[in-house]
Amino acid sequence: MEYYFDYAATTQVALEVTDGIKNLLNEVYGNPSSLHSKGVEAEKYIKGSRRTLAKIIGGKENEIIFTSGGTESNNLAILGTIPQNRKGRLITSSIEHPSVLEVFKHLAGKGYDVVFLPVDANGVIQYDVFKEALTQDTLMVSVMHVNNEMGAIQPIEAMASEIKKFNTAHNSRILFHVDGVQAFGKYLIPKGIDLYSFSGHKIHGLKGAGGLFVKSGTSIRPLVYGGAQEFSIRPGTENIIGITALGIASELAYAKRKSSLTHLAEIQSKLETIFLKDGDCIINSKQGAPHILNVSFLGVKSEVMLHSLEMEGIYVSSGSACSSKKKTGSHVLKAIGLTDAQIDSAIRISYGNDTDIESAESVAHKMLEIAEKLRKIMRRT
Amino acid sequence: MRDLILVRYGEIALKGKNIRVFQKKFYKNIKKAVVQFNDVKVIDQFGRVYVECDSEDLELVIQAVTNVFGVVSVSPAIRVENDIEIMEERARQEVERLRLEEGAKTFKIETKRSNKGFPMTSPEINKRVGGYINQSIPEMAVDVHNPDILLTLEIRNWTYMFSKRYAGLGGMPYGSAGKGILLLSGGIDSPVAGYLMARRGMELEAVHFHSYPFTSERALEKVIDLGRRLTHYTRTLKIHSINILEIQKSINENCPSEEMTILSRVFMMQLAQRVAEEVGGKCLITGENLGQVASQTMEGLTVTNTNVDIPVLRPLIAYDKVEIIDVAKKIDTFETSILPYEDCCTVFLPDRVVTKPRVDKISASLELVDREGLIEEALARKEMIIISEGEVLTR
Repeated sequence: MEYYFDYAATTQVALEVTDGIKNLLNEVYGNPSSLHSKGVEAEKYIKGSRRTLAKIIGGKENEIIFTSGGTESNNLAILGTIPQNRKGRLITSSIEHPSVLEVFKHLAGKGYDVVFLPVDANGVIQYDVFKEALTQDTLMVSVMHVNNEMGAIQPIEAMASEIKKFNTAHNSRILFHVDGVQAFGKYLIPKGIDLYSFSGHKIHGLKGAGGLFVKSGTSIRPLVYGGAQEFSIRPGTENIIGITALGIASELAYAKRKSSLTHLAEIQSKLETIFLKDGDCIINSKQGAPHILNVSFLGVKSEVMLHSLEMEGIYVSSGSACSSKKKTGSHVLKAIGLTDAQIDSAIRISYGNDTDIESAESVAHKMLEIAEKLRKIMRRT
Repeated sequence: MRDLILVRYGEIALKGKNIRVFQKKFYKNIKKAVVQFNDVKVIDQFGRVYVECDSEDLELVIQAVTNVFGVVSVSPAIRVENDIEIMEERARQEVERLRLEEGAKTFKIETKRSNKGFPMTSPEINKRVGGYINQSIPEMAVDVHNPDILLTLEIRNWTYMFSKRYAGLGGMPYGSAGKGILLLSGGIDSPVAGYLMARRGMELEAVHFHSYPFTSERALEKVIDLGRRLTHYTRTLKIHSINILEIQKSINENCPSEEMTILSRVFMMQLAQRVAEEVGGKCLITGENLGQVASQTMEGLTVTNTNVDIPVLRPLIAYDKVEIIDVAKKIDTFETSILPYEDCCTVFLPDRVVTKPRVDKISASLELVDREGLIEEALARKEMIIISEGEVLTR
């Protein structure tokens, strides 16, 4: 049996998506930019996805730019909008995904005044620090909607109105970008923001396709130059298959959003109940999104735990998949103030709408059992 | 268009009565190195090897041949009949080509006359061919000290002309010196140790130890990637992958914790020796390097040595780390070696390790575990990976 509990890393392609993209491989293979009917036929698929996304996001079709995924969307949102000839303040949080964090670190090196906002023990931005950080030379605020390592949810709409208030009072134009990769499909797109990144493969679409919502009136430049595709902001022949998949997957996710949130919350509370009974177990994620649970099995190195679980067919993550290649402990767990012992033994469990409660429960029990076994082996060293 | 490559070897030529054995091995190894190319012919003629190939493949064939151990250098060459008029005309064409393609302005002709039946002496040939070129290409001047083109004419049963030389790796034909078992860890040192022994003609077969699930599956992938690199020289490589977690657990439970590393090391050597017995290996090869880590002190090496019966070859024993890294970069294993996956040496790493283990104490500690049972059990679950020409054949 396989128990996949790493949905925050990536997801299986939904059968509806597989069905919907089948004919794009050998039949609808045209280049959407071609003038002939083969091109027009292909272009329809892109337009269809764009309509779907615009509807879900509550924006216009020309506000959706398709990209290769979350990382590109985040890079485009930041590097494509900040003024080229004016250095100012950039505000982000200390728990961002590397595709945001690394961009800001790069910009800090270029002379921008980058503020990394601290978070509380729940991973939520300290609101008064955020308010005080807004200055007249601030160019952009960029924070994630839902954190990928422990599910913390940021008060995006409150921040948006704070920024709006500041902009009106000081006649400034601070942009607000939100990395929505982990939230997309589960939460509605927050009101009052300028840019929103999303990705297909986290919601049963294909890897290699995502998008960026750009509110009309936002001045944005391309990162690569070429043709006129995606309003000349993201040139290059469109990834029709990925974009079509993204459209279908988004539609599916939002159609059953409410019922799946209930289902995910139920799994989360069942898991928490099981883990809380064990004294050597600490739950690191609190009041966050329902599809991610971060747990420390004290005394068991996360990598060893991960491989031992894998031998039982259980797939989880230590930290987030992107940072587990680096040997340093998770920057997110550090930022929420966990001890080294908690960070070294942290496991991220993430699941989806198709995860059934019984298997989640049995996996939780199996985890406790394996952790205990491993503690015995490690005890003497 | 066809091209001809002339292949020179070094040390093999110093061999006595058994020279043919080495020459044959060398010839076969070159054949294997170029078999991937279409329409390639390897010719073994009077102790000289020539490779004929399609001109389109010339650069890649040269690269493949220079990676064959025993090759000192290679030169793309032109072959003409031993006729002075043909020779001078072809030499002129070649000098003219180099003038146009590389902007050469000066040249020199150098003749080696192995075939003493040719009626002119070397200086006479130099003068005649050089004079001819000098007259027919006014833009080219002779420079005997520092010419842009040094065109060598080698007169054997044919005349070979060449102006470029690509260095080989030297060494002895792979497989001409018996088989050794390489302890391949995934670090920087062991692939280099394997490469150096292979260059001396030793056939390699590798053993890799892991502690899955305490070590990552990617650690094995990394070792396989290193193995792929080694097959650029060895063509094929077998890797025996052995899980020693049960052994480490047993040591951890029963023996003094500061002896964890050295005891694991003893088990690895004994397991490797068992593999050697099974596959006909004559020695063990390790990347050990004096003083590098706790188990590589003279005392540590003494302990591991006393626990095996066959020789343990340690080609890196006196290298400095930077020298090892230089070779690792040259054979392109360095980037893979430094990927950060936990290996089985670090999983149970205690706070304090014994740096001067004593043979008697280690022997006593070994009595505390079921040595034979653990070894048998580990060998029973051994897996084998066969890599050929950079591709994994079986897992």
